[in-house]
Amino acid sequence: MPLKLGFISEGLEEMARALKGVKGQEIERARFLLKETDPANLRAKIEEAKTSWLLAWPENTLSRAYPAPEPPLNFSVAATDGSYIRPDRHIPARFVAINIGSALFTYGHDPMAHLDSKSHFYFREEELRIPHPFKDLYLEGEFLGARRTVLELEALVEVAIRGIRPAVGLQDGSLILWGLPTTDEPDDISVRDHFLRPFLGALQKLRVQGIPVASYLSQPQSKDVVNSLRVEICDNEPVDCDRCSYIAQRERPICSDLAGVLDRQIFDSLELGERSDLFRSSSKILRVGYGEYWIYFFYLNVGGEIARLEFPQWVALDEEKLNLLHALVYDQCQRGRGYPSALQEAHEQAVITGPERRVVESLVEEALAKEGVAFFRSGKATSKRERGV
Amino acid sequence: MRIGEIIETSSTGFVAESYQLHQPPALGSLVKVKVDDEREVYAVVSYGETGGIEPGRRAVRWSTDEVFDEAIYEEHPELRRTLRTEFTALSVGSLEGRETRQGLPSEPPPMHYSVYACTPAEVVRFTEELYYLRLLLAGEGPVPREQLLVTHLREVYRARGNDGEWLSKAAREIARLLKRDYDRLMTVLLGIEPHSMD
Amino acid sequence: MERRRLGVVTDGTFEAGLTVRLDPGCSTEDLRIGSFVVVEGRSHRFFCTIADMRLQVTDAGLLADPPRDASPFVRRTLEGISSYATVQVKPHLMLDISKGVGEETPVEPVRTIPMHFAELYEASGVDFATVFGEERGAYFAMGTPITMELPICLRLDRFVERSNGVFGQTGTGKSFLARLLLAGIIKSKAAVNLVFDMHNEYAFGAQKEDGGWVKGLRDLFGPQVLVYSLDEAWGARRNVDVTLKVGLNQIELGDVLLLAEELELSPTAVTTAELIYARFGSDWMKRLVALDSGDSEALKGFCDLTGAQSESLKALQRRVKRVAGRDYVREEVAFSAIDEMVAALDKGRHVVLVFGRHDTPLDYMLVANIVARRVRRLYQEKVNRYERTRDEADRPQPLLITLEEAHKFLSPQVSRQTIFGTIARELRKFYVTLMVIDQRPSGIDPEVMSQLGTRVTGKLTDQRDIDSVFTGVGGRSFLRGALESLNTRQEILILGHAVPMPIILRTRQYDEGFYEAIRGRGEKGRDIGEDIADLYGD
Repeated sequence: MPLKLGFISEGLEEMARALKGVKGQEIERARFLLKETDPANLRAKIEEAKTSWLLAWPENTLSRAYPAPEPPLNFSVAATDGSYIRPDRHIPARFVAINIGSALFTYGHDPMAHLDSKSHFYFREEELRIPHPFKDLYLEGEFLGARRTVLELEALVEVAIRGIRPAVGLQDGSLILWGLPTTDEPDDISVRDHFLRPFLGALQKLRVQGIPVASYLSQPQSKDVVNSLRVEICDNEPVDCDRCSYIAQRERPICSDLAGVLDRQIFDSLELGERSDLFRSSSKILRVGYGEYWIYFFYLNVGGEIARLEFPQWVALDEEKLNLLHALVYDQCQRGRGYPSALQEAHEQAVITGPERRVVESLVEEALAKEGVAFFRSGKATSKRERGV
Repeated sequence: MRIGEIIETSSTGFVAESYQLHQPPALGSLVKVKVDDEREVYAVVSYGETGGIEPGRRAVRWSTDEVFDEAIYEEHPELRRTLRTEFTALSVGSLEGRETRQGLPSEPPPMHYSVYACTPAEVVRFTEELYYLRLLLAGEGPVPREQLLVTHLREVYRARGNDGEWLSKAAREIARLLKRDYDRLMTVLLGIEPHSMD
Repeated sequence: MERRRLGVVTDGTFEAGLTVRLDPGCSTEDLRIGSFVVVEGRSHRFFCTIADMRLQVTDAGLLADPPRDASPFVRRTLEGISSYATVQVKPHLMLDISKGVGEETPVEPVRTIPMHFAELYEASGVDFATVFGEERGAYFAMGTPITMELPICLRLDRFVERSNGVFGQTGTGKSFLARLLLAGIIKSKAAVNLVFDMHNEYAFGAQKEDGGWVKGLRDLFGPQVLVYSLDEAWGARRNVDVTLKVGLNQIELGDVLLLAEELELSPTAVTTAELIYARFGSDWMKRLVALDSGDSEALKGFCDLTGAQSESLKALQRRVKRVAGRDYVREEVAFSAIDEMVAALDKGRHVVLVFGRHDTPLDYMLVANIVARRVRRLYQEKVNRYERTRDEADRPQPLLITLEEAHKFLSPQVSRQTIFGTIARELRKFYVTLMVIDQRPSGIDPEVMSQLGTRVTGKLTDQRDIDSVFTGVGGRSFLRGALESLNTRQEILILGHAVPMPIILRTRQYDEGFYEAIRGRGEKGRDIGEDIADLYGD
């Protein structure tokens, strides 16, 4: 182990202390603002604002907290998660293997659990390409992530439908497909649609089934609520980062103090099981692609942390569904020692272990060899594999 | 009755996953694998363990003041899917056609094949000869050999309808095998005294 | 052959014997030292005796912490496996079984040992019969093995070929043993007998300890047995054939020396006797006794003649007069009575000399010595003549002389002086052998003991006595324990010339059954009448 951890740990302590110190004041300020800011005013300001960062639209209040409702006696929770293998650079073939894990837990007088996984293997040209009139777009990077998310959601539908009602469906991460192109160009639109159509279709199915769906973000790094508070602070009228008066005067913008604060830091006053009020995300992809499936969110004290739950509009505006979601997510986190157990198990089902990855690779090698396609690993590739002494 | 499926196999025995969580065959009991129409491999259960299916996933405490023991499995139904019970068995012989042989099988029993509990009649037939006790004594495993012998002899004693005569015969065979180690021998003998089994 | 298997051979040497590991079911308590057992080798059957036993464990841990409180189950399991026993067995004889065993297969002395894991068995009736033969002719049943009702035989022909000993501490029934042996010898005609019956036990019936009566040899065999008596009065009341007298002329120096202890002769007295004998020869007793020691004149003359001291002379005379004064002693007696006795013996009759009331050691030793000396002398002449003529008619009848209290005649001090010592040492040169009966074999000269062919012994406990029984018998020391273990009344150990191997027996009963067997059928169905006709002609 050539990396010497000793000196890192020293630095870590100092780093943490520094963070606490400096950030402490800003966090305090932000908390204060959360409590004192008038939501209606803020909404008006946000309406006119043009910022370079993402803003959260307060649906009701900013700081109201809602305690967790009691979960029903009998209910089910479905969750899916995915992971993928991309080919080794050194292997001539191009393929993608995506493994979607699913979990369906039933609680009440007939407790049950179903765990499963389903694998998708893409190797055909048409599977690996994203249809585009003139660009060569491949299933990699953001697009691969998006494909995974779509497959997770579709799997969620299949699984959640089988559960007893009431039921909720959970995803890991975000329901906002950040990586998709947001322009109005037709080719962008078609790429976008390629993913959004099945995605929204799945959301619709869940809506029809009356199964609230949400994605769960652990340790969220999001700042969109804090960003809205920065708008509150800003004394430019209208708020326009491109025309920031401070920057023009070569001064630090007044809002920059809050720049490092995370949303979860200001919502840490939530009691155990409480959720924050509703916020609406203002991500561009939502505007151009989601329509009535706009994504809302709240923060929730799950016990070990403040987590962020994202869900479509039809859930947000339906008090019964919202409460059910709140109740069951919190219940899951209690069972799961701070993380929804169904998601945990779905994740376990999805995980592709190192050995499994190597099995896939050797199967690929075998298949290629059968067809007479040989390949040689580069020296680097081999040395990376065998970690002998 | 099918009680498990082989998940590891070797010349000396195999590891199987039980169909039912927490219900492996009794330690020391005789089990068998039907290799094909002609052959069955007999083995003695030598170890049992319940743990997470995924390597690296260790069990954690789930109980609270209100929820403990069986109730935990109702609160966390996924536990029945993420935990599994395994048992290890040492191969001691085989049935080829109608003939019972005692000794290691020529091949390891096939992976993923079913493991069956032996019926009392099968136990009686196999244990008529006592040569296989040497294999048990020589085998390796986490359970001390003497304890394995004790549980095994008690299991066979019961399966044979409290056969005291067989027990005496087996005890004497053990005495022969452990003649150079009085302390280990006494550990076994004191564990299988008939009155302690009633 | 339904024989119980006892164990297997695990070790051994030819010298020391075999080590047998007992089977788990076999306890040391089932066996006994000295019992007859059989080892089945690959090509030989070995006939052995158990010489020693030993307990073993497979792990010393058991010794340190034996299962005291363990259940019967645990103890039963350990027995014979973790704890086990070995016995040492000594092979004596073997039989070649490689080509099947027939009637004619000879039993040989042991020349080899079996290999490992040869099995040890209890001896069966067939094994006993193979080794000891079946009752017929000279094969005389002395008793049965402890565990079986099978008659075990001693060979009387071989018995009389040498001198023998019948031993056992007081109360072990030596006289019964003697009666058995004598009856057997008489019946089988293995020899003629001359019995010096010190306690009047053998000729006529005698009373047992418990009040019952046992028959004497005369009762059993009638006129075949001649009864001589030393006691006229005693004999008159009984059916005695001859009353024997002893003359002073018959008493030799050696007789008196033999009686030195009985007569309390001092060394000077001994010297004096020697002087007198030197002077007067065979007349010496007459002269000595006749001397009037009150007459100082005569006394002095006597002393001058002999060179003896007068005081010693007087002392000697006093003592010698004790002898002279016996009822049966006369001044002059012809040897004809004894010569006729020998003639009768020659014709196949047997003689029992009863002592009547004269049953003191003094009488016994004096008379036995005198008679035996004369008999032996006659036998010597016969043998010399036989050697000259080589005529079968001249061949003497083998004679067995039975002698009780043998240690008085055969102690190391006097054995060279008595004729019995001579007889014992010369084996059967002159067709005469001894059967010595004694409860103190350690009192007998070891040189004599070593000449005894067969020893029939009851229980002995004195270590010196036990040692002496085995004098001159190689490699039998392991039977010492067996001797000590014998039952006082019923059990005997026989070893030596007349048996193929040492054997412990329960003695045959000397009772009605025995009388029947003895009297019943002679070898050729002869009856008493025929015997008499044989002896005396018609």
